[in-house]
Amino acid sequence: MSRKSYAFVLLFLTVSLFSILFSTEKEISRIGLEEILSIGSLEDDILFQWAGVVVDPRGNIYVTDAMDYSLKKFDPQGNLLHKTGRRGQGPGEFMAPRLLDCWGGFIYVTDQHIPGIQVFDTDLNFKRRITIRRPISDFRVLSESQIAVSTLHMKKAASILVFNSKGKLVRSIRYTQEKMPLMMSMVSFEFDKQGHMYIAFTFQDRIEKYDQGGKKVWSESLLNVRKTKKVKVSSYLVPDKIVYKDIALDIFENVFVLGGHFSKNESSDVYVVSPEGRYLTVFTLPHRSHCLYIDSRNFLYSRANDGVTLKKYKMHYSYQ
Amino acid sequence: MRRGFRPFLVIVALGLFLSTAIPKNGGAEDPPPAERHQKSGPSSPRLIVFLIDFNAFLCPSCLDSFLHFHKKLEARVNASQMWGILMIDHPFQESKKETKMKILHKKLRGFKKANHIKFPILIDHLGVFRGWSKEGTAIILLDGTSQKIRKYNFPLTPQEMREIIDHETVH
Repeated sequence: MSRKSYAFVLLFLTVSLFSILFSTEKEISRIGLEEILSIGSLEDDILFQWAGVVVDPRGNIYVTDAMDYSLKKFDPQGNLLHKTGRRGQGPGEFMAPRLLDCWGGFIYVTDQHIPGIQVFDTDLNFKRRITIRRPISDFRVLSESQIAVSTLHMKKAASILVFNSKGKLVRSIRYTQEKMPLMMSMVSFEFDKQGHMYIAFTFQDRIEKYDQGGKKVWSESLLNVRKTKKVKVSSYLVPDKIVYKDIALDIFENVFVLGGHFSKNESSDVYVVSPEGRYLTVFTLPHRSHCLYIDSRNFLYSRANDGVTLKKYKMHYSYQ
Repeated sequence: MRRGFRPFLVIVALGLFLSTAIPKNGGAEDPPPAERHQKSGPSSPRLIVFLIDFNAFLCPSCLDSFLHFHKKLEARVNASQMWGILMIDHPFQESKKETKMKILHKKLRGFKKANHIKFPILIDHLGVFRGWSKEGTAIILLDGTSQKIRKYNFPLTPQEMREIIDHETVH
């Protein structure tokens, strides 16, 4: 290759690098929501109290319904395609279906009262159960053979636990060094495509990022909450006010955190933080929600009408 | 009977509640008028009232106990003797009342369908039983013959379950 060619390639790379750097400099200053789909009205019998939501790469929407012990599948237009489940502890049955995730053509479902994770195909046929003998407060399927789980830690420092497809613990990512009072280490979490882990503490004002090696990259507090009140339940003292309810990442890997009781608009304010940990903006959902989900096409899903309605929004970003 | 439980107040409250709620709620939760007339006649002097609290059903053993007991009772007792009242722990904001009632009716439909419950369940929109939900789901037996009222909280012990079922079938 001639010197001219080298110079051209070098110039091209420099320009590309600058354009990438320039584009990442643009920061979100405002996010607006446009409702594009609503599933479940006040009159119909489609959703009674939905708990968890996940969307497959084709845009089909899967929802757990705690009131009728079911898992439901909707097409991208919101039409009910399949429903499965009834009350019970057998295969494909639920006592309190909750969280969902989707990976490799399978839907993974937790139950608040049954340990482990049930796996269904996308037509909602039960395939198998993964035995995990710990309460699951949040989970993500990282690959066919790795499922990351947050659980309750009582006697030791808290970690995200990674299990294989047979339910065997293969590694853990520690996010607290010290033992914390009951439930104070509870988190919801997300992983980005590079394997960074983002966590939002449920009962503490802490949002944190960890690198692939489990080292803390940053830690942020957004609400100035010092201490949360505790109440006695049985013989345990437990916090009764939630700081952050859920965490999600958009396609640009900005961190979206749903605020709880301490937010100006309780269970509706969503705080947006850049991947580098800079607070960007806050926007308010039209309805109170218990969770927040962003699909691979950057649509945001949340709850309305106390869980009888699921809303899907298109997000409109304004930049500085 | 639990300490602090006042039978007189319960009779008055239930009387008021049922007398106001039954004619107003002409929806799916009520039996048709002819059936209602038959069921409330003097031949059925006993009434079983379930005080239902959705929050209490987050405890699976409470819901299990309720469903198990309901199934047993259903096989032995005239269905028209059973009623349910859904307790609401916070008053509705006036502006949101209509929406909230629709949401609760919808959730009740789902709950009844999924758990095969056939007896009518009224929503305590007047707040007559507000505060009772602290004790969770309960069952109240009103016996016009012996003029006794009893109350039990879920989950029921086997002894309590026997006691209620014997009481309802021995007479």
